[in-house]
Amino acid sequence: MPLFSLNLRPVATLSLGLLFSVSLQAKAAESYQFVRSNVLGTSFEMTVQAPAEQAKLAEHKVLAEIERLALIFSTYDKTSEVSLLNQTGHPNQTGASQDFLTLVKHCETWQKTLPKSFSCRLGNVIEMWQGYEQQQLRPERIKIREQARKAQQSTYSVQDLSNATANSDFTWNFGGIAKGYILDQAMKVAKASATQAQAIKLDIGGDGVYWQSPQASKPSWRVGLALPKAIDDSQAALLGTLELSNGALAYSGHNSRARQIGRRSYSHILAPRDGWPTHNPVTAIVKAPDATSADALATALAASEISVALDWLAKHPEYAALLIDNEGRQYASNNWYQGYVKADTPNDDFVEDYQARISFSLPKLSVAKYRRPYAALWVADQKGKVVRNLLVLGQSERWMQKNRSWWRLQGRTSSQLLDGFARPTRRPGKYDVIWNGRDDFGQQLPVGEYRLFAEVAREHGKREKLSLPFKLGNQTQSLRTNGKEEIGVLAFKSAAKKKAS
Amino acid sequence: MKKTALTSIALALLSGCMSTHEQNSTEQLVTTQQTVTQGSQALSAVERKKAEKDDRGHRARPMTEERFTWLLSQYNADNDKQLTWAEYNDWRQARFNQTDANHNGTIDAEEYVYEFENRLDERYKKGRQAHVKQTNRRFESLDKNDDNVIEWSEYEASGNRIFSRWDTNEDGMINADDPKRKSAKQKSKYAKQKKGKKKTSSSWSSNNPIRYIKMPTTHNMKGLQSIYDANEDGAVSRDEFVNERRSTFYLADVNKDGKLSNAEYLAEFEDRVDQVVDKNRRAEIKQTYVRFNVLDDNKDLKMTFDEFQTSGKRIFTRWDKNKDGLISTDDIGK
Repeated sequence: MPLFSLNLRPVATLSLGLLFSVSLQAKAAESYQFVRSNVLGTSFEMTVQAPAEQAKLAEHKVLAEIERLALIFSTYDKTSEVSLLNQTGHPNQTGASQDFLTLVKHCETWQKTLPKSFSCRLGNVIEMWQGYEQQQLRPERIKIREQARKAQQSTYSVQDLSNATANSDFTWNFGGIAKGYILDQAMKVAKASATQAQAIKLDIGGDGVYWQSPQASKPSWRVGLALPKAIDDSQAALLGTLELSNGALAYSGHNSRARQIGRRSYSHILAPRDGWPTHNPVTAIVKAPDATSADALATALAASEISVALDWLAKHPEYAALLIDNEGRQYASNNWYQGYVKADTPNDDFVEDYQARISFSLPKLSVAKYRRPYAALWVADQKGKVVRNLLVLGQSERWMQKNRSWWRLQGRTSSQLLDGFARPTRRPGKYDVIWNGRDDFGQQLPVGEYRLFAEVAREHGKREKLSLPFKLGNQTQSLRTNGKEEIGVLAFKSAAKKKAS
Repeated sequence: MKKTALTSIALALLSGCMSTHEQNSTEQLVTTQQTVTQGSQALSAVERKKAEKDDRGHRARPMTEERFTWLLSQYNADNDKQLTWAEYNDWRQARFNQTDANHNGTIDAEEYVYEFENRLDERYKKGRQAHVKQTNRRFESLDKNDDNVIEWSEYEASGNRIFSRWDTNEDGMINADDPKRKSAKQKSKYAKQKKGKKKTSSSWSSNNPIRYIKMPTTHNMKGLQSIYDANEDGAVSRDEFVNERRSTFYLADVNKDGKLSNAEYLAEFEDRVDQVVDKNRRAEIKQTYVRFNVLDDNKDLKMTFDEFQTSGKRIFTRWDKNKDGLISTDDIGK
């Protein structure tokens, strides 16, 4: 994965209200913006809210720091530290630099956390791909896998690196994490040079890191999120606007570039286990406390299955993420929309922060040849059109087809739902889903009448479909209906919110 | 030769992995089969077919001469006409050790999948080559005037042949109303002479790597429908058929000169083969992880040789039809 060439550009602006209040409190606080092209091969933007001289100095120092780190991590520069190390396999006499060791440590942590989707050890594999691309040869899957596996199983560690032990198992490539690390380091330098700064923002090729002084009472930054593949900036705010005080945002996995070999195109997102492009990679947008984590996690999530990614995010609330599949469906972590900027004027057509709890149960059946059921849970509008898929249990097409209604409405046309979103079948029991009132494409649904559907089918068993009409709106509702055979209960609960004055 | 054999074993594994009570089920199977023969007059053809299946709904396959020779060629160490459990067990042990890449005495899921995946990819590679060969041959046969391109008229003529072969009542619709057509063999005046050679043709098809990747074909109804039945109503109308063929021709004709060159024709088919391989591959790998979890009986994420042999035993008992602990000529035909 290259260090550059991102088409996405989150547009960040200083939150206006804050700007005024700050400028009243501290007279020196003006904001300066620097824009440059061709930094790490992509665009660079820095906004500093500080006295002019400090801001200029900070920019100067930041650029120098970026250049210094690029000389360590860039695989495009044949004289960089990583390139030299990869060529010889042997850390030079002085050993690896401190930055190199630190980044490798980060890599190891992330590789341990998400072994199926993150690795900095794919240097050889990426080279193999580049070779196939240049010569336009059909990639040899077995050879690529052999190399990827060797890299993944290697016991070579950061300890070996600092002891200057030779490494013949793999070569390094920091494409999935280096930009984040460089942003973090650059931010440190910026803060150190602009000591009176109130807020700083750094953005390289669409990934950004944001900071504000601890004295600030409100979030300083508003970041408009662009849709991947958006044609121009007028669509920039389509995904919404995030409010940020400190933290970082990173994008990964949009299909802006793919290797074209013969008639086939291969995604750049590789799975570490076999070095092969992941099937249907998603675009991941990650919000994290620091840019290194944001970059690494975005890389990892883009290479994960959607259901796996969402489950992981549910257990790690320090990160928030939005995944977008290539059919445009959006899958948000539970905390993703919390940072969104609320509409200034309340609109009665929509409910802000809507939450409904939907539960359904699969009964315990004592029958011979019991197989776990396949289930689908969705919300439809009054015309019966599916607006939101809430849960799909069971990943085999053959058995999912038994859920006739869901299959005809959704499954047969949207392969991504079964390939990525569907989870394995589950045991009998009660299952809860929280619904945020948005449709599959991330749009808030207008208040009104909707219908909740559950359909369950079992191998050697029967099929059952239940539906439950409900109102989407700011009101308390508790509805339930009982199934006869394959579904126990289907229930819907929502609570009215007190209006904030 | 060896690699082909390995993959077939993998398939055998695939088809017989879930049940852990193979001993019981085969006994049940034997009894049901007996009832079938005793009361076969009372059962309909469909019911008889159902009764032939084992408890997992799989068809019990008979031991054939061909399969027996194949089994011997794989596992028989001492070249006699029988396969003992010990021989088979040794072979499986060797396979186990080979799979255990880090030599710690157990197989983990990644080792297990890796070993399978390599065999699978070898198989797909061969299958793909066979399809390319076959497609080139098909091109030649479509190109009636030997000018190294297929004109629309040639393509259309081939389509008409396919359509009329299926539309036996000639109402412009391929559906359930069409009387079943006679197979080429039944029609042929040489049918009787060829009867004796039937076995060679079946061995061609089972050994041909083209079988490794199953492409939808107009040679059977299912394939025909999956290609041409656009509105999924179970019938293929003349319109549906012609439209699909026109669009295939148009899309394959990359330089839009109204003719298909060999390269264009091949590329169109290769794209479809690759799609099928991608899809099957994902399913197979997913299933391999499932298989590992099933065989890993105590769920410690490590497969011991004993656990590995759960499936080995099942395969052995499946072919040891007369249950004498020996796969021999006595099992043939049962």
